[in-house]
Amino acid sequence: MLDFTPSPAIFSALLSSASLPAFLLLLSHGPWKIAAPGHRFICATFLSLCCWGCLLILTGWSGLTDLVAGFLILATTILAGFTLWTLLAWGFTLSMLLALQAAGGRVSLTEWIARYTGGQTIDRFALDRLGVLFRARFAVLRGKIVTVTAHGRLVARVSFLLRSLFGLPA
Amino acid sequence: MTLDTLSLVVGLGLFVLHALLTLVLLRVPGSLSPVLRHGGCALAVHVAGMLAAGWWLGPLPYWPACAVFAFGSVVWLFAYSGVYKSVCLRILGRLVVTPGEQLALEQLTEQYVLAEFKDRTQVLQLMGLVDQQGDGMFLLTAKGAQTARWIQQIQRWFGIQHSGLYGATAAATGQENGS
Repeated sequence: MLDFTPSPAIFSALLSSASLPAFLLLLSHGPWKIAAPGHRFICATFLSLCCWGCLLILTGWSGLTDLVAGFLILATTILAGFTLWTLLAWGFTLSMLLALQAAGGRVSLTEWIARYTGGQTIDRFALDRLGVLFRARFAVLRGKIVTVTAHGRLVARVSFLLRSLFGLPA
Repeated sequence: MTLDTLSLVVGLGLFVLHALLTLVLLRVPGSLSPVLRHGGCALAVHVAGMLAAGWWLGPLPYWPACAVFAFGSVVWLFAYSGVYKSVCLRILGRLVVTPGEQLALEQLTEQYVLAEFKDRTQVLQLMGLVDQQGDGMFLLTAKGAQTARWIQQIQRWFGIQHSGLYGATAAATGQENGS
């Protein structure tokens, strides 16, 4: 037998989880609009956490386990929401599809890339794609040569381990 | 041990079982996508495991177990997706095994960045959203056009004007070309 009745802390977490898309919608239009999608998601997450905090003060909680479970429910929603948000705002394949639609007809691969990058060169595109590695200091660019750093080496080793664990080719 | 704590432990146990099962399922040959394998396994383990736990352990609160299981499964999928799809990690891995641990930007552009773009064109074709014609030119299919309109509608709801790394630049270029 399973008891599906949520405790107050869990009920509060479920309500706060439902508030995340509502806060995102609220911050996407009108006077409260936050222009940058990344900042918008962070603010909506903060508001959802505040919402949970307020509901906890109002309804109370029955113990640490209850609190941990509630937090995990909200954390799961935030992680899943972040995945969908990044897909919608920065998704690579999705943006390629929209770039092809904007082209409005038949295009070659080169034209498609140009349309996607807004006319940037392929070298600029490559540098932008590699920007994550440079910003995280996992690699450095010296002239036209990309070299891995000590941090990058460590991350690569962890990645090898995980790929091997998941049965992916090295 | 309270019933809430017992439920958390059950959720954790079911997550470990799900993680182990996915390691097996991901190695089984077949056309089912890895994300569907993760999702299907999580659903089956959760439903069967919770029913069995409820029957075996007596009255058990559902939500603490559900919270731990859902959180663990999402983080597990995150870890998998990170190493499965990340081009940056693939490039790092290649750099590490290359003598001198360095590569020319031109080589990375050709072998990874351009290759990634080409890979995605194939994904879009496999999904029936894009058609590559005999002369190598690409064209949106009717399904692709409908999907693009759908995505734009959702983006409008959430106030996203441009998507991608070059959203704003690409849109500006498009307007210039159009005018």
